[in-house]
Amino acid sequence: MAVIEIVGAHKTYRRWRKPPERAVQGLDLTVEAGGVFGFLGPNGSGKTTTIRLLLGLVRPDSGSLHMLGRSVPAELPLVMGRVGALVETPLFFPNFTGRVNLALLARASNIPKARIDEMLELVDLQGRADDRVKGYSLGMKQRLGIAAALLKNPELLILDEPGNGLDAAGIREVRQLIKHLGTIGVTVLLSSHQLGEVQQVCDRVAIMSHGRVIASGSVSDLLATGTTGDVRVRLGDTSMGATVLRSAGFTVTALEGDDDGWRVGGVGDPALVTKALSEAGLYLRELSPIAADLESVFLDLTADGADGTAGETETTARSVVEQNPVGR
Amino acid sequence: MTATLAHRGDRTSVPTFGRLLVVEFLRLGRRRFTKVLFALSIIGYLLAVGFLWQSHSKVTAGDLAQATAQRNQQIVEIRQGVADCLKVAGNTEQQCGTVPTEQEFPIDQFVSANPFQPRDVQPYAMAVGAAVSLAGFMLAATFIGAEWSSKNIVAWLFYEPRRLRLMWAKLLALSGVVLVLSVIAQVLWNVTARLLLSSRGVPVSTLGADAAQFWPDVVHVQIRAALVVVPVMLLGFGLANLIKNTAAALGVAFVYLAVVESVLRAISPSLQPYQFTTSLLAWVNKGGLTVYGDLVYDQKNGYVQPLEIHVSNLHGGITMMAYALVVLAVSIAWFRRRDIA
Repeated sequence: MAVIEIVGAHKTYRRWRKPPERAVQGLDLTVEAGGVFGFLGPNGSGKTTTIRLLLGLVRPDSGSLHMLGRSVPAELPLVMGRVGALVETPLFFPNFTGRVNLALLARASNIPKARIDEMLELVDLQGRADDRVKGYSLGMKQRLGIAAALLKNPELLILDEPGNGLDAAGIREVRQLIKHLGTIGVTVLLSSHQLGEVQQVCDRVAIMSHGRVIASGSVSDLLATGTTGDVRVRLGDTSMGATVLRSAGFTVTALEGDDDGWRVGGVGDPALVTKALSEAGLYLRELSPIAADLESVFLDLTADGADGTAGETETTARSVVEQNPVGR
Repeated sequence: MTATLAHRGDRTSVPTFGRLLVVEFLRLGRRRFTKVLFALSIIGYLLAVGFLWQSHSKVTAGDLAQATAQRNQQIVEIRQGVADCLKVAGNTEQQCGTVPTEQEFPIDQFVSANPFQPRDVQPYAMAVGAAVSLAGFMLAATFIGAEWSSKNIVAWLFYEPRRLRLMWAKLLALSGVVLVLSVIAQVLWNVTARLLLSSRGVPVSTLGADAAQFWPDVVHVQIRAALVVVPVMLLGFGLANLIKNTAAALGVAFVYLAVVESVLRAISPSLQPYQFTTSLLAWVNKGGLTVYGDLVYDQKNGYVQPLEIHVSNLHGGITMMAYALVVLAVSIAWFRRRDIA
């Protein structure tokens, strides 16, 4: 079952004496229930606008949006009690304490007081809960924002850059929390720039560029699209080895930060590399495939011109979507 | 983040209107601005009452008897003067003046001490209304202005996405609190005025035939003065919600009320009945307010004079409320439709 379904959504911001800004252009996105869904894209790609559309903060010009089976924004009140959200910087009354800010939200939704303490403990803020929010660091505000989002015990949790302002330990803790939530039945939509984090946490991802999704699928499928078949080769006699491999028809380039390693391209079958080297009396110390990471896939997909045309990997990535529809 | 989270089966629903209302009451009460304003109002009130107490002195029965005798003597003399004047052949009543009544010569004017006067009770009631209204404006503007400046309103929309419902809860809580405080302030002034009159002033009974109507008149003025806070507060809320900034809302209100209306009054005096400040005064003032409009030629007397325009209490109240409701309606309609980024 899809918890989020967006079809053909368009949103253009029109501002006084400024050219219209097309934030979302024909966006299609489906997020199935369960697990952690990564939502990636460069700055200005339309991620936050998409999240705002889902949460009813901005209204779409056209298209249909559904969240937890209900139309958005018309039926948002019917599902909002089941959705937790943290969009960019958390927003609290600076002169109230963290506890009071949560207590006001809890009181409105008839959430027991014990839940507030539970959430404060969860985000490690119990020691500062009675301090004013204006004295909090950005990381502490972020933790409080996460607590506020979880206060409702949501089925769907929408997090926009939850790692903002957090130190390394905080990021790790948030990552663990998100992973944990994904395993206990909460669907998490995680929008983030921290691709390493996303790769570690998410089961599925969608990459946005210029207001639409240019690739989506499981993380492994998406990584496979960025894998070229190149191998890492390490030899005792590197200069001789490179010459032998070049003469055998492979492309050989030095690996960055690796003095005795080479990247060998044009490899159909790794056995051919072994064969060429052994015939020249050279023996391998390492032969391993070079796997793409999410960052390289992301950069390939979003490294496009100003005209909005995506990079050449897009076609490959799109085929992943077609073969492996998100969450199915 | 040490704890792990168990996913519970129970789900949270969107807040009921009653719960939203309770939360807004709590927030209003917890705001530092509310507490500071409340404390300053109490201090200001006590200082003002202390000053009134200090600057007036008690009138003894002897003082009153002396003043009454002096007043009566003066009336007798004037009556005699009028009578003598009318005896002269050819003199008309217009030339000699009318026979004075006791009501035209209040006793307090003949008391040598400086007692607190019954006639001061109504203007002070209006002053209390003005001060509470100003505080109401500030409270309302900062209440919604703080929501926008902290963007906390977004956090609330994650809990209650029905924007109108959210806004009504805020407005209702604010109106309720401000109106109750305004009524309390007027009740307090009524009690204070009675104490001042009995201990440092002239008894109401010295007003003669007007004494019976004195307190009912005061209460009518106090009711109107207490109600002024509603449109003023709505105006502050509407402006700050529209501009999304407390300071800017205060600036706009000041420029409009102090500058634009003054200029309009000078350019076109006939527009005064439709101005906010005139309407406010007309609403509070006993019997309304008479203003002077454009100059007109009086054919009967043969000279040019300004047109007298009477603005009734009702006219003033309706006009004032219309201003507040238009600003509020525009701000709420825009909030309902606007993208919140």
